Amino acid sequence: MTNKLIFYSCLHGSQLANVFLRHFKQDYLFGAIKVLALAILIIILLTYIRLFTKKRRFLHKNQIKKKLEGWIGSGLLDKKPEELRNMPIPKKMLGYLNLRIRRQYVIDELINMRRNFSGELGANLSILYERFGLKQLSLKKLRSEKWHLRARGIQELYVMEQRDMLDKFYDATNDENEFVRMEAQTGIIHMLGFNGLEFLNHADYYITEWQQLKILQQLDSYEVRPSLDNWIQKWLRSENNSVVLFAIRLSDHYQLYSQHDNLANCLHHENENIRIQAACSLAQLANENTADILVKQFPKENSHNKIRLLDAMETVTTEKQKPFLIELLVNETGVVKLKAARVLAVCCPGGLDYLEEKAQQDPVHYKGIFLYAQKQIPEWFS
Amino acid sequence: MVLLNIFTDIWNAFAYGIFFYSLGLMLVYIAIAIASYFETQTYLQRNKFTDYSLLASSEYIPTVSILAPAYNEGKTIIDNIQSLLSVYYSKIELIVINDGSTDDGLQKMIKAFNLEKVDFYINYVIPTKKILGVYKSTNPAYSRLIVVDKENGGKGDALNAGINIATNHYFISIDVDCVLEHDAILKMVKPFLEQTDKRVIASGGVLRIANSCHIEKGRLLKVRMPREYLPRVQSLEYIRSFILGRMAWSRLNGLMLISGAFGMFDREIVIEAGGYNTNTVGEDMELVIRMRRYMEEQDRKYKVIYIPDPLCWTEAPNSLKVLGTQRNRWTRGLFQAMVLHKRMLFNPRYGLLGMLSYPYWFFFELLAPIVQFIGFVFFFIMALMGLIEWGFFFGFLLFIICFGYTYSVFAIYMEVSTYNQYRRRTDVFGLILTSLTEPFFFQPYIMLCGMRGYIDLLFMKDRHWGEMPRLGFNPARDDTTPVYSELVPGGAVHSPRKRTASARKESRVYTVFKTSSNFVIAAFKNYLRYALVFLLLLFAVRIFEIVYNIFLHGIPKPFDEIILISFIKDAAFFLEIALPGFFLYLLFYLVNRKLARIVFILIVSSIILFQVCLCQYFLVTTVPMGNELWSYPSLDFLAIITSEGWIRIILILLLFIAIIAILYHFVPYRIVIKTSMAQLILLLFTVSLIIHVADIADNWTTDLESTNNLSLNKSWFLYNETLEHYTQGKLEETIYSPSYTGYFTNDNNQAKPLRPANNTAQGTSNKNNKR
Repeated sequence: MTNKLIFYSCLHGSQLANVFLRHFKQDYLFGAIKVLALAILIIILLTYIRLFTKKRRFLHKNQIKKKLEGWIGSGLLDKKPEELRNMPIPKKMLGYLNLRIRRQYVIDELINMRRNFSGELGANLSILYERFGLKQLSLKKLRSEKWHLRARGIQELYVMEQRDMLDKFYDATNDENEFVRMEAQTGIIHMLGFNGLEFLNHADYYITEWQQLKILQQLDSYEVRPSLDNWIQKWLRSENNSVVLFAIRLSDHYQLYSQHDNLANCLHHENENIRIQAACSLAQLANENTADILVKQFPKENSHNKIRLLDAMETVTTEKQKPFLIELLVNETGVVKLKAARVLAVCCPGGLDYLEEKAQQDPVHYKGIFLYAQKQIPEWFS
Repeated sequence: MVLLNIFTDIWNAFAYGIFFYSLGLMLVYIAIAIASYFETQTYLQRNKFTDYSLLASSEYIPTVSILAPAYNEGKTIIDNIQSLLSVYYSKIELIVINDGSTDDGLQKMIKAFNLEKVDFYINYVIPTKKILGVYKSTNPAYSRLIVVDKENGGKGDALNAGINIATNHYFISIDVDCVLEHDAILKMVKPFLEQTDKRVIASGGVLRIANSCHIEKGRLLKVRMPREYLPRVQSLEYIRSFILGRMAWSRLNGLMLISGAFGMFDREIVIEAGGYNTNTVGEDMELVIRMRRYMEEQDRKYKVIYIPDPLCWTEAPNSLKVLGTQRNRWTRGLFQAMVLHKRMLFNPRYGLLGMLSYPYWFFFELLAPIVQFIGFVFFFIMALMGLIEWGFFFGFLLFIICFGYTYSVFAIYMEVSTYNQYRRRTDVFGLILTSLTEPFFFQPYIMLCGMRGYIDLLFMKDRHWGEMPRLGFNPARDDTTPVYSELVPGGAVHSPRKRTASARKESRVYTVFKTSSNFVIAAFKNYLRYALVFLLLLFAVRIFEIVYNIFLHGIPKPFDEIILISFIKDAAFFLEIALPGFFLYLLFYLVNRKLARIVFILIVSSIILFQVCLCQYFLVTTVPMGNELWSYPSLDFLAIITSEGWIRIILILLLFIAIIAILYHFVPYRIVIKTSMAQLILLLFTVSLIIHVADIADNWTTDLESTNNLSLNKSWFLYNETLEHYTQGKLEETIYSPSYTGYFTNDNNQAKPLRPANNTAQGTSNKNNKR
């Protein structure tokens, strides 16, 4: 960037000098140079300090990690909870907890371990967390005004299974900051499993697709699933579109066939994403009426959504829909036509023959489509 | 008179315009630095809560098409495809588009991946050049790979073909030679999954320079600072551009550029906006501008996201020629994109895009090379006319350079405190040193390339991309690598280039001229290696002088100014004598290269040792040695410089002999000088000699006589004094002369010619009045 400026000074050095010398003294210029030179030196110094502190932190963290692992690994986690609660903590370990930054290293390390251990071992780690007085630090973060500290506090508390904090997490699921909200929602699910989904009843803010995927992943780790039908019915009527979307995804993910008709109603939703997600999920929960429902919906959608509908129809179409697909081949254009050909070839008996015939009659328009459709048929089918 | 007044008014308006332009630019840079700092902090805090591994294993992640256009990338294409197929993201479809390559890249791919031609219906939603074939692998391990062979149509056309073939909602455009971080795609996808009311239409990541990094089979194993100067300086440039510039624009949702090397796009919006423009060489920028413009015109809410994590590593040009071609293309691309969307300039309909982003790019990126060039031209004109107020000029120049350094070191600080890819202290130091040299060589060169881009535009020349030859990340010389020889004296030419038919057609005169100029440049490149060591030695003597002066007389004031002025005067002295020095070197070089080297080193050693003696003389007497040297009895001179003991001066001289020996032994062979760089430096030496840069530097003084004397380059001073003395035939009686009678007169006429010209008078020339 310097060169953008460097040559302007050439001009300033000449005629401009006369103009600006009226306003500026050369001393000011040298003063500014001195300030900049000082700034350069300070920034370079800060850079090296930063490098040094990063390296020191890394080494320090490793040292604490080794000590902690050594201490905990010496049969500590095999002890009973009562024993652990009354056991004296070594002075060396208490020494690590003197400084706030070290306490944070210890929390980080305990959290890493806690994520890897469940059952009694995990519970013992939570007891250690409390005994070290680290919970107080997490609570302090939870009370902070800074969003990242609040989110961090929630994360630490839920990983350490501090169930007495559930109410606070519950309140935070509707926090105005998205990261606090997301951590609280994750925390609730982490501790309560499917029951934690109750927060959806009063979720005012948008739940991003990212968060939805995260929650679905979390829920997969719970083997026992309560009946979600009542809740899903309620969520499908939510004013929060993201809740509706998530409910459709849940129905699809857990194969809730009982929700088929409710999902069919969602095809009339004003939100385009909900309509498309409903169509895709309907195809997964299909019954004998699904294909007709999708066909009925077809003319109401734009070309992009039509493609998605045809994708969905690929698993539910029968010979009954053949005339509809043939009509699409004639009247539609581009990808819609192509997708229709694909569905026709894959789902309808004699569909490929029909396409071959069309290709012979009108090779300019249909030969490519036929070749494409031919390649789409799975080998076991052909 | 009226005409003169009009001219003056225009001139003043121009001058003020330039002033406010540079002032505006500086303010923009300050704003960028501040905005980037806060945005980076926020991003880092947010990123602490992201667990990408969760997403990697999810079945719900969207499938992404990766579009990799390839043109004559046969050398590295197999490794690159392997690398892309092994990214940490399960749902990808890799589409490699062979854009009419003339090498054997396609055959290599067919062989390596068991490809076979398939019938593939292509829906030409965006028109492209003819697609010759679509290939898929018979090996299920490569089921995600599609290779498209098409007629050559440029990068934009190849990407459009890829868009037509892609079946997914999102696509990533990538340069096939790029090396991705393992989680790069996860990080790129995340913003699309986080969109709420605003549609995310594109996301872009940070590009880093991969030269000198340890890369195996398309995997980055170890990050290293580029060893060569050009890639290193580009590393710094990329850090500044990505960590500061784009981060700041991202905060404002004002990004206008997603790098063509690695960017992710919403396919639907790209198609609606019309796909890549094939008539521009800056298709990446043009597409983003068009997509944004389309969204603005449709009144749809949208976002363009920037991810500051290092995601993609690419090979930077390491020769001036290739760098020049690349920057030339960037300038042309920027110009074409700006012209195509000119209606957005200060158009409130386009919101921030029209009122801030576009004007920034227009004024401070597009017009920059022109303004710089005009500045350069005016500078030379005025220098020739003697209109330059040098004191003010150097002051302002120094201020601007310091500002540039501050910005660069701040970028380095941000890099260290965020993603810290170069963790070794020496690497950081290397970056800082590189930033010091950047404004004097790299930046002017980039400006010249920009101007060349405009000239090409003007004459409608070279509308293509231009080839960028790749060495590969772990280059091993193979048969195809051209061997460039250096012409050596005595007609011994090692590994000569093959003469082509066109070369044979060249006229004899032209051949002689070309051979001679090649010879001179080769000699100059050799000379430069040794000359640069001479400059280092001059600086070493200067450091010795200043430190010793502090030891003897305390800290001179103003200290910082003295340091600066001293080094500038030494550099100016070097520049002044560099060209005559080269002619002398060339003379010996014609006879024998080794002889030239030895003679040069001996001369330099003598100058340096003599300069040490002159410094010692000055430190004892606090007066620089002038033409009195020629009238001093040599024993007196020796007595003064050895006044602190023979041993001390001998030790000092021995120390410098050791420094000279070490520097000449280790440094020259490590200096790599490209031909274009040598040409530029030769030009610099010539200009320096013409404008007498050392005399200009001598005009820079402080208010204190003692400090002025300290800052003088003692050899230059002695040379000037001697020259002036002999050329003016100034003969004054000296008290050391045997004929001195004690009679003194002010009348020069009466004083001559008592002694022959070589017995000069004591006293100083006019220049000494400044002391």
